[in-house]
Amino acid sequence: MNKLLYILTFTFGWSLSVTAQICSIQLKGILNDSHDATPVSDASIYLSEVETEQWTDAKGKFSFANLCPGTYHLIIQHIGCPTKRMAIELYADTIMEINIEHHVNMLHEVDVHEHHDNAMNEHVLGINSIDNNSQKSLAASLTQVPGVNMISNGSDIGVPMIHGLTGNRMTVINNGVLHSGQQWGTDHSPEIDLNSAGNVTVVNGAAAIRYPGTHMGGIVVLSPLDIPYDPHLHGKTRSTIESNGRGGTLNAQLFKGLKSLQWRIGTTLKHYGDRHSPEYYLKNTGTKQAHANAELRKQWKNKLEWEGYYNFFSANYGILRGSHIGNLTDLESAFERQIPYYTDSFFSNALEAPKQWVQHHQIKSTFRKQWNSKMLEWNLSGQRNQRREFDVRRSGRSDIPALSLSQHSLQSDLIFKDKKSLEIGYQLLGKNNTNIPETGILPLIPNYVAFTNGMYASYSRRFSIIKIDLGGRYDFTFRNIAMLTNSVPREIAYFTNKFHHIGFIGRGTINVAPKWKMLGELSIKQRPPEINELYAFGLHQGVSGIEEGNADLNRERGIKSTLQLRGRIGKKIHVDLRGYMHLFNGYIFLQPQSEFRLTIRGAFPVYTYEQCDARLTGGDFILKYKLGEDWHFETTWSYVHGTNSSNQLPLIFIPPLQGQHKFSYEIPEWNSWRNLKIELEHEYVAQQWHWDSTLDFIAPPKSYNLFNLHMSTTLNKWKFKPQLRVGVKNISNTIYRDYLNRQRYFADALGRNITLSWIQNF
Amino acid sequence: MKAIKLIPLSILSIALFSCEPNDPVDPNEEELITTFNVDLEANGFTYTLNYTDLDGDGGNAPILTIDSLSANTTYSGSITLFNESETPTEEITPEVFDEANDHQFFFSSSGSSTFVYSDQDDNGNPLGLSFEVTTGNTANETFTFVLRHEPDKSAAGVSSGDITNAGGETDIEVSFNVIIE
Repeated sequence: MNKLLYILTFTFGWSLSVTAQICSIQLKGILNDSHDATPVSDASIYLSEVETEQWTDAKGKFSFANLCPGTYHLIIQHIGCPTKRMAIELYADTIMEINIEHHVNMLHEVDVHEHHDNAMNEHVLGINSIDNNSQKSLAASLTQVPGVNMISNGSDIGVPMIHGLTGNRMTVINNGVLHSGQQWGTDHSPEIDLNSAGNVTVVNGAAAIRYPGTHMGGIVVLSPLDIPYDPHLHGKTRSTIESNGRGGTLNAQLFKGLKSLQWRIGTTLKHYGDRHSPEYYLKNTGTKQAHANAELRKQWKNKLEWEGYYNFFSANYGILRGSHIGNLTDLESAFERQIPYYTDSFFSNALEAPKQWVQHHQIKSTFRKQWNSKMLEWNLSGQRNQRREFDVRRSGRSDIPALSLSQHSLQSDLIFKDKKSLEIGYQLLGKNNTNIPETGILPLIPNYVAFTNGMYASYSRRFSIIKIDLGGRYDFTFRNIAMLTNSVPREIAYFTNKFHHIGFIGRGTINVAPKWKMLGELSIKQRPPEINELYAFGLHQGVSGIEEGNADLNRERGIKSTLQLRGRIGKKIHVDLRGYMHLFNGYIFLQPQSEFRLTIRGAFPVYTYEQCDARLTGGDFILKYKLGEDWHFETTWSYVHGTNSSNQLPLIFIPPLQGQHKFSYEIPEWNSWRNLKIELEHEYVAQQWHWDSTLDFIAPPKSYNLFNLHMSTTLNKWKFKPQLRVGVKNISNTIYRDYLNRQRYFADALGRNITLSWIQNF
Repeated sequence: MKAIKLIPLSILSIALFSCEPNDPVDPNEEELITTFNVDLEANGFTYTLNYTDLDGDGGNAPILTIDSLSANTTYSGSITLFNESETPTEEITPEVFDEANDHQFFFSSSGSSTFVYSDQDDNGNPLGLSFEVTTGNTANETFTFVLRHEPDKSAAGVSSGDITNAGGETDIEVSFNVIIE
């Protein structure tokens, strides 16, 4: 007994002495808002290895005591912030300062930070938004940004539209590279998986000058997430299942961040069957999609770094079976149907013609060298884009694509930056677009090779209360075109295009009063006519008519002026108000011609590309009101009015007035639930009243109201802390059609959809 | 610096990128129907309604050849389809015949002429490659021929030749201004 007591005492004493000697490290820290360095209180700091949680005090401070040397993982949670994870190595008493991205709401942030130069006319979808929208297409996830819409053809085929501009007038930058596909069709969605990005920024104006492309104002920029230092392998999964379409999305990532080497790999799989409108199945509207990305970053001691990036995307999109028509009579009889032709009474996973198949590869290398606050960057990237579109055809030809295009593109950038105030860049873009002759149909657009040489410079400087941004760019586009003529027998005609086009931007941001900022911006941008606008020829299902290019088109020129005011009234109200006017000279559009052209399938309307003067006037408004400690209200409104100033007729496919209201209840903890958030959302979309019957086959759909509910929380009870989210979209199962969705000609939009998501970090 | 060394590689990769587009290949439009021909036979004589558009959709206008018909006469009609943009000319009629279940012709007249199917698919529904037309009194009439792909043949009225509920895609829709004398 004595012996046993002795051993116990010895053991205990020994271990005590070890604690006293080594495991006595103190970790103290302060948590700051990365925007204005103010302390963040009531944040949870969890030290995984000792399973201990601390809350930051009013000064943002926290401390852990009696820690042994080693590597520790910190999980920092705060309401309205993306959860931050970091690894630290402790050898001795340590005092650390942690910065977190603190926003009341990452998306509709209207806080005014005196010294935070986040451009006022940029909207960032942060990692929280991507987590919450993991199952959506890129375009669909962006529709929550005021002023951004989606022009779509069904559920997953969608192209973002910024302030009424889309297609050839809108550019997507994926990881610094101009996304190069078949942008000319409004039914050609960008071949990008949202989950591959760390954040998505919608840029209106100034920052857009450094990006090549034919955008006239707005661009969408996807950037990868940083890989924080951590000696261990970590990962993340995002899984979502949805009731409408009876499918789901699974995203998995693995990453490791060492001191001078970081890597990440990821994959996304999507599988959906027929979607359901409130009353019937939408036959053949499923999606099958796969994505993979890999990323490697390496830093050397002399401030040289390299990044390599590879991205693969593949998708099969079904198109509503009842939307495939042979001629105008078919179209008219489809309009009159309550329920589209071919509608089945049962659910199906099958994907048949009409459908789209796309595959996209992107590979990129970046070298970056920094010295004395200067930086030189060199990017080289290549892309391959394949697109096949299948129509319902005779004699088993539905398996032969009706459109088959293959595109290779290259981009090389050389960029110099000085102290963040001066930036100069040179960009070379090459593109080779070929019709694959498997279709048995005369191609709609010709084969071509295009090169663009671009140069830009931008400068920004702060003079006491005013910050000035200036930028300019010049591009030269050269194209060689080989086109099959319409004659019998077919011959090949060769053309050459040469276009010079410029861009200029000037912007001033003034701190007009404490907590109030004003922005004034003037931008000039030109773009060359695109290949379809110049040379398209043939029957285009996308416009239900014969589309004819116009080889005499000139550059399109636009001047946009923007005025924006952002500020705070008292401590509870945030306001953001923006108005803009975009004037176009030589606006390229499809003009319906008075003649009908007789084909063996009957008479078809003829559309020819023409140029006119046009005017887009619009505004976005955000108001946020803090109702109480945990209650928030938010309302956003957007409107844009598009007119052809040559004949005072409206422009087609311009978004109608829309508004969104959100009540949210958010508490840091409820039992073992963390960051509990309940959100009730109301969406209102008006009928497009600025419309003319000569422009479209049928009148714009009526206005509609949708109600949505979201609930999210982190379950802290379990050690692995799962984040769960439940959402119901279109709670009342309202029947509606959307003006910007081409499917509206044939069928109702989606009915109620219940979404269950589980996000897991490990 | 490594970046400098890689610049020649960049130039090389761009040089490999051809400046000339690939020559387009004539896509062999075997599915194209350039010619729609109706032979109408009565009393040992054959009359023809013919629509020919060699360059396909758009381009040059189609050429229509229309024979005059006699009043109050029953003609037995047969439809043939060709792709004359190919050499030799390809007959498309068998493609429609082989997929009889998925095709149906619909006939209509602006006047008093009437049409009756004289053929059937495997399910006993009409196809319309063969038909009979009985002309009315002396008049100028418009005959319209419509070929639907994947119509709903079981929908109300479709099997008796009413196109209203048929659905499907229109592969052919041709009208002839016929003089009935």
